[in-house]
Amino acid sequence: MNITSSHKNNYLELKLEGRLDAAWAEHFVSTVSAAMREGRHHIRVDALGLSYLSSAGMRSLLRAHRELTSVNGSFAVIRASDFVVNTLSMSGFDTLLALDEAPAEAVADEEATSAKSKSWSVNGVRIESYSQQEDGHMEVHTTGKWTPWQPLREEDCAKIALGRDCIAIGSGAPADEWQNAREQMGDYASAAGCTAWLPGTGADAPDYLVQEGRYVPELLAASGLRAVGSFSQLLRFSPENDGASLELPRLLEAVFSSTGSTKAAFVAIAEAGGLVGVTLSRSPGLISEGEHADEFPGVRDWMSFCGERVHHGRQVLLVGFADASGSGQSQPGLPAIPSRPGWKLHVHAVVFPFRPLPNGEIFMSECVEQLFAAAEPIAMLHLVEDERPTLGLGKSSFIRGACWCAPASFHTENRK
Amino acid sequence: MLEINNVVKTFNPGTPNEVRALRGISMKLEEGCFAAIIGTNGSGKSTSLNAVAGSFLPDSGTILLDGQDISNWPEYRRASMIGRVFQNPFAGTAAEMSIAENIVLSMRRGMSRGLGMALNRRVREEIRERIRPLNMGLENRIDNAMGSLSGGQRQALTLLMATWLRPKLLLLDEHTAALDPKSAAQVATLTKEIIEREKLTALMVTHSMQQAVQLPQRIIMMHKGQVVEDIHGVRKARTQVADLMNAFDRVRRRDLFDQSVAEQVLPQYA
Ligand SMILES: Nc1ncnc2c1ncn2[C@@H]1O[C@H](COP(=O)(O)OP(=O)(O)OP(=O)(O)O)[C@@H](O)[C@H]1O
Ligand SMILES: [Mg+2]
Repeated sequence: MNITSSHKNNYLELKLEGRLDAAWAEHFVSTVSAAMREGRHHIRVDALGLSYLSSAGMRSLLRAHRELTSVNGSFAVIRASDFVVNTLSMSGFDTLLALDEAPAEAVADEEATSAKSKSWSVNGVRIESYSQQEDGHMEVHTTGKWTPWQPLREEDCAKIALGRDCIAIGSGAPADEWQNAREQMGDYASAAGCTAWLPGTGADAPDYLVQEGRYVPELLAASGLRAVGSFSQLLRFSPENDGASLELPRLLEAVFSSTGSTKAAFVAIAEAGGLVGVTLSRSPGLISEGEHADEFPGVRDWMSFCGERVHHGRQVLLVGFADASGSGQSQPGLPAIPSRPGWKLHVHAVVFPFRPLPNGEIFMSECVEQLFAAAEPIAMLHLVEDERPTLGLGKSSFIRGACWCAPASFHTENRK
Repeated sequence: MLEINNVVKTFNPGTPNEVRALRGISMKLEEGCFAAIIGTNGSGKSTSLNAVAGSFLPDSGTILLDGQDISNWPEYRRASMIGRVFQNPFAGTAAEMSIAENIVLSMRRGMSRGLGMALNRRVREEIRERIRPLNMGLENRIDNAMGSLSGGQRQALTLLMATWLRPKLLLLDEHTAALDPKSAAQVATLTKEIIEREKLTALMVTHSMQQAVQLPQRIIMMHKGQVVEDIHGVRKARTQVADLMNAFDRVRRRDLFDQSVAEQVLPQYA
């Protein structure tokens, strides 16, 4: 089978020639997936050249239909010959057939978008901002009093609830008892009642806790930040040229300018260009008195470094807090970054298999919940910049996605 | 059954070609334990097997087999207790000799002098009996030259010969690596069958994560002359290929985590 794709005004046309059967179904589905990854969510199949359509082939059409409708896109078979029409309608799949070619809703989509949003470009990436809640704002509090890499004491830890009303990142463990928690303290990130947590036991994949019914996940946090409030802005971004992507500080510049604030809280879901980060590989609860856990080479037992840019092409959930106000005051849980003097940043990334987001204006809770419902998290990283000359891995970058953000106020509880 | 205690081996010490191939490895295999050794190229897997087989004497450390300290035994003396199969299907057998002759020769190797074994009718019958379960049709070809067989067939026979007299320990060094995928899978299955049936203690070096997950009860991972992972029991039961890939990834990342990385990232984790 031969597939020719052509970009029409507001949809993508895939011309199929030959047999759509078991041998070719997967090829067809992956062509559709690749198009969806590029943000093409309205697809028409030109079936005039189809010489054969088996049940496996039909199933692949249905799959394309299901995946596209799940991102508010559309899918239809056009120019179907009699035998295709007969095969589809006899099997009860005539909903896949369309007479008119252009997807009406696509046009509507685009118009709605241009009315509500502002857009601009940064380094070959188009950014669109949507105002989601006029007075959206985040109140950020520190949770836990542990200072890396001191020995962790029980009284440093704070029990926190991670419900739908908050976003949070830090180091902790979901255990009631200190004895259990102290051996497993690891990095976590939470948004929309969904918490991913990488046990600090050398585990590869995060565990996760999702708010369900009356169950609200709780964590014993050694350190971290937790915020309540609502997001004021949504940023959507996608590359204008092949290979373009946004480095994290560039995305944050967009956050600062659209929120009109130099302090911000954000959640993003984006396809990774590459991530650079570290994770706790051993619980800080096990640091003994007088031990210097942050000294090389021993630190490699406690912390794992990604070693290369990782997770290209995967879908990443970011939860983060940033302060570019340049105030000299140090803020616990907000370390400085090397690339931007005066900037302080703490971001955790939860990595999932790629799954496209709907285009246009979308909402955080829904998207995060769907991410956790569709697949298990693969990895968790505390993002860092690696600005070493020549060897440095650089900054994490993102190809396309959505970022919800709001101005933030930081409140610090006194620590010892 | 096998106990390796803190064995160290440095090749060409004090020269520019110095290689610290074994930097103090220890492991203990209970009787009937089948363990795989995995690890990056040059991590010391083959050297570990060679140390056990006695190809060289270690610089320090001890090796115990079946309760006896064999650390200072020469290779030939250990050979009576140890069966070995190498990567090359053409090693270990004589191409111009027949299957039957090769088998008789290998049986003699383990026996005390004078107890020679003739290739009589009874022996030929036994050979056929034991080759039949290979399902390769070789039982009807025992007078054919070894050289006329395929790599997979030769490797299956070599494995059979190495275990014919139920050695105390079986050492396999990438013994399926030179075979085509189908033959490799066949020999791998045969390996598991023989080891389980004969309740052999075995160490198998492999680069196939699939084999490491499917065949043995235990997986030992080596890196830079050291044992870095020892996966057994319930942990082995839930270990999959992806977990082993992750383990390789962990060692690699650790190597890349140097002083300059520490200086970069530690201030950003606060
Ligand atoms: N006889 C020898 N003389 C000198 N160096 C040796 C000798 N045998 C092994 N080495 C060196 O010791 C190191 C470990 O080699 P070894 O063959 O044990 O690795 P391996 O884990 O089996 O690797 P591979 O997966 O490539 O088979 C290597 O650097 C190798 O070059
Ligand atoms: Mg080797």
